[in-house]
Amino acid sequence: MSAFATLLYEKRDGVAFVTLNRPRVVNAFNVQMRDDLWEALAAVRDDPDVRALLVAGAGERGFCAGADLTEFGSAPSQEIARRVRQERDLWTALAELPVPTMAAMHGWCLGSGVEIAALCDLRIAAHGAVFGMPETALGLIPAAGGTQTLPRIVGEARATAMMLAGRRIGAEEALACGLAHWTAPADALLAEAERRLRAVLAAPDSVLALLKRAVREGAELPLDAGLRLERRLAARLG
Amino acid sequence: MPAGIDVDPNGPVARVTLDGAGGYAALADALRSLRDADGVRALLLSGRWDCAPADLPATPDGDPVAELAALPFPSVAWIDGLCAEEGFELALAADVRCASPRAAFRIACAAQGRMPTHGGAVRLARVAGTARALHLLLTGETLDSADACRDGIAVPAANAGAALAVAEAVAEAAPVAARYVREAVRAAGDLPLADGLRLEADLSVLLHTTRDRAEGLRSFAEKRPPRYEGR
Repeated sequence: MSAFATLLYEKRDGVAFVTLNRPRVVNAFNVQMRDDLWEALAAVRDDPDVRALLVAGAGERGFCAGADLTEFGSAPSQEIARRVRQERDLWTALAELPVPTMAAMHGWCLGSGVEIAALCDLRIAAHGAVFGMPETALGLIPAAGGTQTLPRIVGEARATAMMLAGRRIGAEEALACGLAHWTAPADALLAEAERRLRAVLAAPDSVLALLKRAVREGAELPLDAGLRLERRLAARLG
Repeated sequence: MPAGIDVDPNGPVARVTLDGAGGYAALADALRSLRDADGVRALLLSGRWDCAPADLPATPDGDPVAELAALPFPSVAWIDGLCAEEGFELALAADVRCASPRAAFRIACAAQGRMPTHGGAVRLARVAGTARALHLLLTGETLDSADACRDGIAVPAANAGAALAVAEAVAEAAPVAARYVREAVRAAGDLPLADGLRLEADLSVLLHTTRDRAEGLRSFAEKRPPRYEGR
């Protein structure tokens, strides 16, 4: 079970369940959670029994209300802040996990909450979930990849409206624009998420890992190089 | 002021209203004059978007579409009618397009034997995806407001007041943060993910040096509206 201060980590029949666990502050993302998540992702990556990751948020109020602003302004210097970011590149680590990843989102999903979900392969939203990017109103910018991942997922115009004009969207629009792949009633969210994720696991791990690489790496390449990558990866399956 | 354009540079939301051909001709100059206007943090561009090909000049010293894209603050386009051809290309250079229920979008130049020449093909593909862009460009079909919002071309706004509220929300963002988000989002269309993530992280750290970042955090802790200076 769990040895983390800010996360619950559980492994069940091949699926790692990581639950953001600071429900008193709607699972606000803080430095401790960053360090805990860094270790949890390493466990997911290195444990041969783990075939998929499901990220969820503890408590009734939401998946994650964003960064814990009470810790902001405490960075020792810009130079150190930048170095730490590069050495503990949590967001690339999440995006590059070889196993399928899913976020189960309910209630408030703000800032980093949206960004963590956007780095996952699959997303399911509870009815009533609310998605927003409040950073620029607070004098900040998204810094967990949102400026890069959101335009890729929901399109540049919608991402810009969310990040520049503070536009919030609900679960239905999230479903329509690709921020969610499915929706579910809030009280059935986790069961539905697990059912969908286990359905994905009907495919062999090798296929899932190669498919994920073909889509994610291929999207960053010119088309002809992407097509070559797909052929090369497919050839590995023999 | 030239005929066909109304420019109100006052306040955090500058407003430019276009009324037909003369307005488009004067737009590049009007946008250039706003660049250095004091206290402007967002542009609300509204009026007629059913531009004829000859209406929109593109001379070396005055391409209004390029001027719009190059503004140092974000722009919001308010579209309350047909947004077509060069007008659509112009709207695509805004950061946010607000569409009323009456709005409609069309780019039928191919049927007339022409190509988009103000970035319309490239921007439409980035905004709506390759498949949707090809559909609209090749068939010349008119897209209604609901479909444009579904495709991510615009966000819905019930009326002019709602569009103004969007522009005001943009103007309330910390100016440097807004500029960096815009830079990062535009880079997202040009850079591989890993490079884009690096850019975002670097801009985020650079933002630590601004007074507005500290003010944003302080105002949040004190539960009051922030007062941003743009530095």
